[in-house]
Amino acid sequence: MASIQLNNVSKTFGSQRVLAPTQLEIQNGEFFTVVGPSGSGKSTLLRLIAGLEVPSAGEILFDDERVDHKPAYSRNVGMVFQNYAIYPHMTIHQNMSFGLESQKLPKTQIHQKVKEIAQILEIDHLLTKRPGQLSGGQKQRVALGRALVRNPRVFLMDEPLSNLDTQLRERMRKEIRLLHETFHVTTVYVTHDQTEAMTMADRIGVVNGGEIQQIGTPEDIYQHPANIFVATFFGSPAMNIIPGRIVPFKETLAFAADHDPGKLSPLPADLAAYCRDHGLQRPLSLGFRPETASLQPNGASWDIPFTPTSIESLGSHYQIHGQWATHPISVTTTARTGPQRHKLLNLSVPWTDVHWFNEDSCLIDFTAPVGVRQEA
Amino acid sequence: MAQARSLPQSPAHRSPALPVESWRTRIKTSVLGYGLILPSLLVFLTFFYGPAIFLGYIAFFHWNIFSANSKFVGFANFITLFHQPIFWQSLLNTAYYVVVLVPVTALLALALALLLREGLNRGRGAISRAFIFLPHVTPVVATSIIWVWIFNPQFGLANTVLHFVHLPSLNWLESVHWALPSVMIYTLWHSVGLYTVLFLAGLASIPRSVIEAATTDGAKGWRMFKRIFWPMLGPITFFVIVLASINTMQTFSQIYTLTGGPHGGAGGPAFSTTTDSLLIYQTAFLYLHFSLASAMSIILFLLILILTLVQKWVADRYVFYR
Repeated sequence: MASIQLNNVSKTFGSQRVLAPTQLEIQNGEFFTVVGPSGSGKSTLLRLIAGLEVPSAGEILFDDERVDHKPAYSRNVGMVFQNYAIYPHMTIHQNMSFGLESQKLPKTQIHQKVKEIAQILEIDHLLTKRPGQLSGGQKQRVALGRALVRNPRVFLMDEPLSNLDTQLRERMRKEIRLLHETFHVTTVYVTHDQTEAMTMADRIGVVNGGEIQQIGTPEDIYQHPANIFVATFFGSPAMNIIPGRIVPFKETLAFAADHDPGKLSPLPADLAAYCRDHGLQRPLSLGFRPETASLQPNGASWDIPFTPTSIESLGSHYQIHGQWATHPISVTTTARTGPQRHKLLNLSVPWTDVHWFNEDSCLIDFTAPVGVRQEA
Repeated sequence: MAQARSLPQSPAHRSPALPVESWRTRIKTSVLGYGLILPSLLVFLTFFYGPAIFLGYIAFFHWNIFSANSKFVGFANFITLFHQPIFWQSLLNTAYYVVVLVPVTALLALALALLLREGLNRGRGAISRAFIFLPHVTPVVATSIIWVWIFNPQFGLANTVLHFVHLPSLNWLESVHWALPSVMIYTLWHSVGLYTVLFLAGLASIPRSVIEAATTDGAKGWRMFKRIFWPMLGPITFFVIVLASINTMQTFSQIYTLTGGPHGGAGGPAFSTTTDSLLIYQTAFLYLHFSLASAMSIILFLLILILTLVQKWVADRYVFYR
C-alpha cells in the first residue's frame, strides 16, 4: 500500500498534448476515481501511474519513492483492464499465480494465497477452468483476483465494468467498494460513468481536455462544481445553464438571459449587494439542477417561464423537458401527476440553489468569506 | 474469440431460426456459386487434379510415353525403387534438408519478428519489414543464378565474407559436404521473410492489454517470451512449421539451378544434392521412366501427408487455440 503523488506530470505524444502538467495527491488507502469523457486523458493518467507510459515531464512518487523511471514490471501495481486481459492460454489458477511467481514465492504459499483470494471473490470453484469457459462477470472477478493476490502497492482499474451489463455492473460496483474496505489498497479507478464515480469514490478527479478540472468528494463536486463542465458532467439530466448578464432594475439589479433579454429576474438583496460590490456586469451564466426547480411558487426564488414539450415518467419521478422561450430546460419532479405539455408554467428555483459561473465558466463562490471573495 | 464461443446457445433455440428458403432461391444461389468457382475449378481440374489422378494410374503400370500399350504391374515400380540406392540417397538428402532447414528457418523468422515487432521500432518498422520480405518476391531461378556467383569459390562474395572473418574458404556448391548446406543458405535467404511476416502477424494478434497485464504482473524478457508470447504464438508456429516442411520437401528450382542448371549435372556433386523432387524430375524427364517417377511422387506425397498428420497430432496436444 502506498500513497501516490504526481508532481507536474505531463504527457505529450509527438506534438499532441494528452495531459497538461498535473498536480495530484492520492492518500494511502484512498479510493480515488478519475472521471471524464473519452479522450480526456484519464487513461493516460492511469497508465503513467502504472508505468505503461513514461511521463514527458514531472515526477511520480509512491510514498516518498520516485518511480517515474521505474519500468512497470518492478512497480508492483495491480491493474485491471476494461477487456479483462486474462491470459487466455492459462487456467484461472495459473492466471492468478503468474504475478506471484515473478515474486519468486514458494509454491505452497502461492497456492494458499490464490485459494484465499479466490474464496473471497467466490471463484474458487473455477480455478481449474480456462478463461474461455467463463462468463464476463467471472472473468472480471478473475482480473480483480489476479491483481489483488499480489498484494500490490496500488490498485489501478481502467473502466473495469464497462463491458458488463447494467445489473451486473451495479452489483460489481458494490463488490469492488466492499473489496476496497476489506483490503484498503490505494485505488485509482478510471471511468467515464459519472454514477460509478459518484457511488464508489472517496474523492473524484474530473478530467477534461487533458486537464484536471476539479478534485473533491462526490458531494463537493455535485454541490459546488468548479466550472460549467463539471456542473453539466455530473447529474442526469444535466444542470440547466443559462447565459446572460446583470442589469440595473429599479433600485436593485436583475438577471437578463441572453435568449430572452426582455424578461428581467430581480436579484435578492444580498446577491445584488455582492454583484454591486464586485461590479458584476459582465456576461455570466446561471445554473440550476433539474431537481431544485419546483412547479409551485416558492418564496425567494427565481421565476422562469417554462413550456414543457416532453414528459418522461420514470415511475418514482418525472423528467420534464421543455423550453424557456428558445432555451432548453430540464426539470425533475416527484409530483403525483405530471404537468400538461405545451402549456406555459411558472418554474421556481430558490436563489440559494443557483450556481453562478463567470465568463470563463468558472464558479463564482459566494460562500467564501468577505475579503477573499473572488471570482474563483 | 473465446468470448463469442462461451455465449450460451440453446440448441432448441437455433433450429427454428434456420432461414426458410424456397427451392427456387436455393437453385439460384447454387448456380451463381458454382458459376463463380467454375473458372478456377477448370484450371485446377486440367492442370492439377487431372494429372494427379493420371499419375496414380501410371504408377501401377508399365507406362511409356511413346507406346500405347501400358501393362499393369502392381507394386513392381515401387519394388524397383526400393532396390535403387540412389532412391534411398535422395530420401536421406531430403530428410537432412528438411530436418535442418525447417527449425533454423522457423527460429530465425521468430527472432526477426520479435526484433521487428511494432513498438520496438515504430517508424522504421515498415521499411525493415519490407526489406525482410523482399527476397521472397524475387523469382527463385533468377536469384539462384546470382547466388551461383556468390558461391563461386574463386571470386564469390561468400568466400570474401569468410576471408573477412578469418575463416578458411569453402568450395560451396562444388563440395560434397557443403553443396546441400549452400542450397539451405539460399533457401533460408529466400523464404525467411515470408515466415517472419507470418510471425509478425501472430505477434500483432496478441492483445496489447494482455502484454501490459503481464508487464504489471512483473514479467519481462525471457519469462515474458516463454509464458506469454510463445504459448500465444502456438497456432502460428504450427502453421509456419507445416508450411515450411511442405515447401522444403518440395524444393526443386533452386537445387536445379544452383547445382547444375540447364547444362545438366543437377543434384551433384556425387548426388549430394539429389533430393526426392529433383530425382522425380530427372527420372521422368531425363530418363523418361514416367512410371518410376510417378511411384516416387506417390511416396513423397505419403511422406508429406504423414509428416503433416504427425505435426497436427502434436499441435492438438500442445498448441492452445483462442
